[in-house]
Amino acid sequence: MNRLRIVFVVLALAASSVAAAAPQQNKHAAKKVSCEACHGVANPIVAPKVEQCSTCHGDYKKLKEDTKNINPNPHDAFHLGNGDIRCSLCHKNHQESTLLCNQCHVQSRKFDIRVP
Amino acid sequence: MKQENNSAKDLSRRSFLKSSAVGVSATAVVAVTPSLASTAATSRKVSHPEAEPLAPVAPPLKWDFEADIVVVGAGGAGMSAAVTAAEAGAKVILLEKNPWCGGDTSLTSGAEGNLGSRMQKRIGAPQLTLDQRVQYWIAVPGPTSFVNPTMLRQIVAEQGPTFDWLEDMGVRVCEDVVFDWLPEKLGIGHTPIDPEHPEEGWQRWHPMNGRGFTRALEKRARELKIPILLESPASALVTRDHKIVGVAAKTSEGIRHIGAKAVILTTGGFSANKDMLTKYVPARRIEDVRTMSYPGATGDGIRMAQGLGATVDIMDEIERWDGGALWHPDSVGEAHAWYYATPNQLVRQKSLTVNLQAQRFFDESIILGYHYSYQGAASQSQKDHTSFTLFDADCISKEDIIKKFRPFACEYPTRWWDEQFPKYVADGTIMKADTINELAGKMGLDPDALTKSVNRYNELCDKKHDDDFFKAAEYMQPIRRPSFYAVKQRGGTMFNTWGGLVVDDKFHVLDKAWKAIPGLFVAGENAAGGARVAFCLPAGRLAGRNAANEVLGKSV
Repeated sequence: MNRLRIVFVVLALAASSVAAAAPQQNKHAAKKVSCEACHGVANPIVAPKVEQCSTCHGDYKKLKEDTKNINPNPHDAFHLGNGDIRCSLCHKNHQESTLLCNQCHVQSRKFDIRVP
Repeated sequence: MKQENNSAKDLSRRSFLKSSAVGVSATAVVAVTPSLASTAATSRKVSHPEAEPLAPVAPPLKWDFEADIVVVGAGGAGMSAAVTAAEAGAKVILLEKNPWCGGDTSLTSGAEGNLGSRMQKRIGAPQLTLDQRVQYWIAVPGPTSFVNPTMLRQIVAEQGPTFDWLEDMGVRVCEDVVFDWLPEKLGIGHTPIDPEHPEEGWQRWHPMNGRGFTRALEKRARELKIPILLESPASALVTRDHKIVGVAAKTSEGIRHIGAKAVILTTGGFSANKDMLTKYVPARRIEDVRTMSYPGATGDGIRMAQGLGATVDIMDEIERWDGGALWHPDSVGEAHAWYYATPNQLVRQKSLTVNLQAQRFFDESIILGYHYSYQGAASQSQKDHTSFTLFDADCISKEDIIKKFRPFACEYPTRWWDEQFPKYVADGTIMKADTINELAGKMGLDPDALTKSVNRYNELCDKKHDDDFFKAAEYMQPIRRPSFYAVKQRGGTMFNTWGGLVVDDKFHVLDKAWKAIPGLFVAGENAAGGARVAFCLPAGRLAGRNAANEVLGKSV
């Protein structure tokens, strides 16, 4: 019985440590942004919605203005509909950021835009 | 064992398609064409996991969302269906695989679906009767001549009202005729313009004016409070006792189940699904071919319906365009954007084109052919799918091109022409030389053969009659004044796939016994022959209306 209990406790600890494992890379850490600020306290942890990012970074309208001198303007992309696509499709906090446009715009049609 | 079963199905399906296409029995096809039988034998060893039907799943204990109708895919057909069904009073949920709405409809340069609309009357275009309009769509090259005539008639009759409905929704349309394929000049092809910048006409959004349709539809869908689940590709149909009761979708938060009384499949074609292309399309037709669709065009709707025993048709037909000058082996079979770059537009002009033997091989001015682009199909038929288009100093500026070759639609120089031309000359994509000999060297062709072909072409230009290929005299511009330019093109591009689900006259999906699968509707490129924006939008309306009537218990 005791042994079983120990096994259970060990398993539970292992599971919780997996769930709470800190990501290798965390660009927001430098700005002292807590995990909860983006992800909330819900489980499982999911990528934040646009509204969440907007609370600090401003909405698409502002971002479009901020990047108006970049050609093409990544926040006013030709293909986007009326909706705002999820920020973390390009801006990644826990890995290298990417430019979603270049998924299709390949080779000589690639856009050279730095994504923070 | 499983593979053998599949190939047996393959064989009977292929034979069935062949027999339905040419009207001979399946056994006759196998007997008289041993190559077909051996192809089927070879395919026994090949597996195409991403081409297999997607099996339905059982209902969950609890639905994550519920609606009357779930529409799978927020492209032109899907949003048109969703908005129509919601306007009819049904509770609708819209699923979309991409992080944005619009689908491949937003990538089109326009649509020919204005026949019978108020706007056609307004601009004084010829007023065609319904039978003339139906005949147009049967005659014009493309998938629409494959659409079952009962459907075709319904869709064509719905085109005008659909165009009016879109105008009421805020779509602004350019009154210039941008497409007009047939010699009769019907004033048929008009494209959306930016309502905020009408003065710039179709050139502002050129080449992707289709977004004029999809943005307005998306706005309307959001006004109607239709929940749109982005990044949520449907993964399976949910059935109970062989009846559709919902859809499962793969979201970033896990699988979500949406309960519904009807499902409308509008996931588009399968031009970004390599397994399906390999399984269904003849090998040489897709060799060196790239995809113009968004990467999400993987035939999900077709595969999900096949999981319920749905019938498919014309799966071996794709829409073929030229491969362009920016061809690259890495991009074969991949979705990618490239089509309207200046060198690609140059190879599409009606100037002298030669193959690897430095010989001219066709009338460069013919635009349309069986697989839509005659130029694309003709150049893809050459050795290594390769050809070159030549110009001289008199025919390279944007103004000269417009004046001398009268390009339209996809040939028409885009606004970045002047900026791109020197860039591509510098990187060698547009080859430049002071003599034809030197140009031949750069092209890797036999200089004597090229000189001979250019001389012959110039001679025909002087004569004002193309004795060799009968190109209209107005396009016979000699290659005489240095510098000389050449652009190489290779391969082909697939704009869409024509194959898809077979439907009845209410847009229900038919099973192999040709019986409607209850609660399952389809519109757009998911349906066999539906790959035209001019068909997606009205077909979406019809499917949306039929589904709403069915779930709300209204008589039709």
